[in-house]
Amino acid sequence: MLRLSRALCFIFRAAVSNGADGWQLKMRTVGSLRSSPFSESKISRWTQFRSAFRKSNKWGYLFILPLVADFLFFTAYMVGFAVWLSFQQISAGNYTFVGLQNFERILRSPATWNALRNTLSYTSIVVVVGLAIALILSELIFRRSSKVQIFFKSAFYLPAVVSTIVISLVWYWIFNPFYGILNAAAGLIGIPPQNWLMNPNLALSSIIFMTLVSSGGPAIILLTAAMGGIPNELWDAARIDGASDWTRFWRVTVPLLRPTLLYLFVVGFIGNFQVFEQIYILTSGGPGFPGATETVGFLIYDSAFRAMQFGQSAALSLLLFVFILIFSIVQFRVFSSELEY
Amino acid sequence: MSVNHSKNVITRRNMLKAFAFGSVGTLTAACAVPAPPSEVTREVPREVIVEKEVEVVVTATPSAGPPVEIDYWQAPIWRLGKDNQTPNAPIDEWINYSIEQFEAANPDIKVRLELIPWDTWGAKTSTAFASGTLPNLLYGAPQPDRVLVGLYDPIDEFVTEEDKANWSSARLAAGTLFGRIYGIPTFSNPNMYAISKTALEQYGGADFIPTDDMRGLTIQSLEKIAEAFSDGTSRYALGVPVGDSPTSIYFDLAHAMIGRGVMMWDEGFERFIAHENPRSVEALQWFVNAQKNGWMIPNLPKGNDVSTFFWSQNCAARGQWPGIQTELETAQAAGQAGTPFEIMLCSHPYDENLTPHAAGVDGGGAFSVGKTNDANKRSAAYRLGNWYATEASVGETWLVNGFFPTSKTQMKAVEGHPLLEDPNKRWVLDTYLTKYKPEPLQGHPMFVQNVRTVQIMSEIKVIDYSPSGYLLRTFQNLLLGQTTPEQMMQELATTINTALGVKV
Amino acid sequence: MPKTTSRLRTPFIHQLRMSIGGFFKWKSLAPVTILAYAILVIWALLSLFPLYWMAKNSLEPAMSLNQFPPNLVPINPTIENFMILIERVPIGRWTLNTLIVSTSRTVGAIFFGAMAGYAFAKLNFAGREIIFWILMSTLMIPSFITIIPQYQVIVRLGWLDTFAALIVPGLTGGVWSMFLMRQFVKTLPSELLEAARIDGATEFGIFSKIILPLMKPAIAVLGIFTFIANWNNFLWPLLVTTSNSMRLLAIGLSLLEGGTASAQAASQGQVLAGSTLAAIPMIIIFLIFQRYFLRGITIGAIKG
Repeated sequence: MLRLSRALCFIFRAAVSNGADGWQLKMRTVGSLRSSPFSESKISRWTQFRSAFRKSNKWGYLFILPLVADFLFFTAYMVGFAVWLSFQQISAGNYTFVGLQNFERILRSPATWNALRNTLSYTSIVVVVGLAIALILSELIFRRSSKVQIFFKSAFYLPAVVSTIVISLVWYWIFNPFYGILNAAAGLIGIPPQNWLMNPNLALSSIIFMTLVSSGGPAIILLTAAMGGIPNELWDAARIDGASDWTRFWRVTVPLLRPTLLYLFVVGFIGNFQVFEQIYILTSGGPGFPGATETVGFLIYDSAFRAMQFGQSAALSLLLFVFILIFSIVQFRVFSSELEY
Repeated sequence: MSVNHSKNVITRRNMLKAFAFGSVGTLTAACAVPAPPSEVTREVPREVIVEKEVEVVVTATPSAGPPVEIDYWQAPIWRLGKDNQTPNAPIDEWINYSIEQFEAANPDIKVRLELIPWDTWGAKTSTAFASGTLPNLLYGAPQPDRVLVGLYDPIDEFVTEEDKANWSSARLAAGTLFGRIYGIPTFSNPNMYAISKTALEQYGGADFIPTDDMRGLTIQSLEKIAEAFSDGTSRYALGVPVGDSPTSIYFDLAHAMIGRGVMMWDEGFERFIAHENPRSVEALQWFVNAQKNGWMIPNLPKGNDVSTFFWSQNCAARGQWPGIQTELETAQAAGQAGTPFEIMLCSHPYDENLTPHAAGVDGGGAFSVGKTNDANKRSAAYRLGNWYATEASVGETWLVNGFFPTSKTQMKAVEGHPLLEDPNKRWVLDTYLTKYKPEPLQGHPMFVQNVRTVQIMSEIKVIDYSPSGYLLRTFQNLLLGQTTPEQMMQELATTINTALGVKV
Repeated sequence: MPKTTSRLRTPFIHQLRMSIGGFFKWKSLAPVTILAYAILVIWALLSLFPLYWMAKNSLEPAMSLNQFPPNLVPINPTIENFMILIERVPIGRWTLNTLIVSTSRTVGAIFFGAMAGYAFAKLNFAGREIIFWILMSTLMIPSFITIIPQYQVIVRLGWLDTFAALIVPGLTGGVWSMFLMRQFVKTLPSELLEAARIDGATEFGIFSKIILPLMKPAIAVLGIFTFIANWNNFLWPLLVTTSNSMRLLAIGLSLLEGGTASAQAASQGQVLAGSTLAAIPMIIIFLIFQRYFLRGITIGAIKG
């Protein structure tokens, strides 16, 4: 335990000392220290910390203690445990170390790649199309009187307030091929009755459609609020220059909304990538093998709590984590801008 | 603490630094995770043990010391009260009464009952299985993969010749795994086919219902029924719940195979062989054709949907348990099914050149003994289980609650019971359970009698009871036209046999 | 509308349109406006229709629900679905459970989140920034990775099917609550704290008597969103509750749907009746606190 804390202390110091040295985190072994413009010697840095510590308001530590304890146990320890689990095989209470076998199995299994594919399709369509729709709706709402705005914003937000489970339960019956209203409506426009959830070609699209219709709300709220932050002069200036409404929208509003759009994109991507509840209620992973609507989130749940393969499930969740991590890093690098907080 | 020159700006570097720090921290935390110990030492059968001579058992003599306490987990399956007549009694009334009676007859045993409602049952038993500790007596037949892990205790030492003669031999065989007996056959809940006579009489097809005592429903008759009844738009003779019900695998798919004489496994249960029999492809093709002809409810109906169609007389035949009679009464009370509604139970469809089989030999109604190091508890648990299996007065309880007794003592005790005037019940008791040959073990996909095969099958999870299970989903693919019968059999064989390391 | 046209040389028609579209803020072409409203109305209908459908079907008798095509309005409305549902399942108990869990977790998130947020915003202690950024970086950890080990730990602690399992993990509201609170507290003037310290108030006193009351708007926002998130939370409660008496509303409803024995599953009317009962409290909360929703979540997401 002591060794652990000393190791952590050195890592901590390494992070603190970086300053202008660039963004690679340098791992240091005990006792050796690379010199940098900001450091003199190991002793003075530690002393620096100790004096800062003495001057600290100790209540700060107390106030953050519950949160940090919660974090340490329910997040840090759990992640560590998950990593450990992913190297085990579990049956009837016995844990056997199996090395990389779980990862091997997952990477070789067609179910994993299928789930990844489904999840990527689902997420990219829901986020991109969803954002586009939210953007358009925001633009249309924004100019109206406040009463009109409130009405529409509420209408769009309401499905988000009600749980996804409830929405999925209703849509389950809307999609029902025998008694559902969607087929009745489709019949009116000449489309023969479809099996929306049990036709592998339609199942995922149906779920995507359901999500698009019921989840525009929060994005619209954020976008309209952000639009409110754009000074009117900019629009006036554009109008004066003779820009049409569309040009004004596309060349003035949208670029200025970039931070919000970026935020919504990243958050939306990460959130939707873990989609579970709709799949659980509507299709249990979808018709056929490999399931047409099986997503990574559902696969993790299924392998852990139905197939009782906790080790494989933990390994899969680690892969999911790595994927999201890579995605976030890419996000930060590609759309780099320093966001002020 | 002024190294960060502007504290309020998140730069990419800070973000990534902090993240790297966080990851390293959690990985070091990972090293601190201790391995959890396992408590019970288990003996796992490593090889198939040849069935040995059963010695005469020494019945446990009432000892002078304090009574042996055993834990007994049971799900509520009794609807009637302790007099076997009062409806809507509290669910624990009969079981508590029965325990009183047992303890009175066996004063050296004390039973701690835990009555677990159905909504908790699955989770509670799964957790128990996963953590490796079971109660002394558990309601439910022993599953091969769990026997393998050593969750149960064999009971050969307690089974007498008398018991063996009393118990149904088919149920005894179902409880014998890897050469040792693990399951006490307490009652029977077989599965069969249910036909809605009322629907057929109304819309056609009633002529082809089996009329003899054996009530064997041939595939050929079923086809005629389907032809006469289905109209392809709203009435479909066959309800196969492929949408979400794993029991459709067994009611429909597996029995379609057995009914054509197809065996899944070879004699030693070492190799999957169904694909070598062309009738397996024939069985699958039959379903594809049935769907094309409009004989089956289309669009991969779920169990709920099949029931709705069945109650509204738009579906005429489905695989079911005898408990369907109770479901009918519930549906009628809820206004979903009308009166009169006459159901006829008969065998699973089989080829007319073969003989029919009774299904569900492995099904519910057996009790198992959980692994324990205490020999007295093991013996006491056996006595409790056997009491439910053979005590004459309990026979009536099974019957009135929708099940059937399987021991000869109990069957004799219920002779002449008014419920047996119901032709369905009489048929199940007198014919289905006694005169039919039981389904061959080699024909059943899950009833594997080989240690190594069970181990591997439970790892690859190809055949299991779940809407997201491989077999059910592949069946869906078949009906969706995404695969052909030949392909499906070939893939199944390849998956299973490759994992087993035998010739595909 | 202001006549800012003095600098513009607009064509006559455009001026005409400006006066027709008089009360719109920007000079739009009327057909476009109609189109805009049409789109908005259609989308609003699509958005709200499922909720209407849910309520309507919960009032339909079982026989009507098995007809095709279904009615758009209930012809023989009945409350039998609700009655049967209430008899069959302990929906009152489920609601109570959900209420208990949501309330305690909301209080926890507010209290501990405010505490931590205040500390990170206003108190100086060594390592503050480092710890903050470590915590922030964990926001991108998906919940799925912690669910499985958390489940194993809960089982081993013997907390399966107890309120402890539902309430304790993440009781402090997590990094998100802390972040929201921190953003808000940063906007409060530090002089207040200095003055209080000079006057000899204890740190905790400053926090509870000065800061917390000032944080009411943020607390309201956090409280509402946390409450709703917990009310609708699904996966974790699904895993840790196994008995009917401990289940939460969303989980109980999901189990009504399906089940392999048809006798266990409830009919469409009953399931939707239950869903309606689950949705109504949230809708009521939304309508009461409408302005918080329509403004509230902007705190922290955008600058300013």
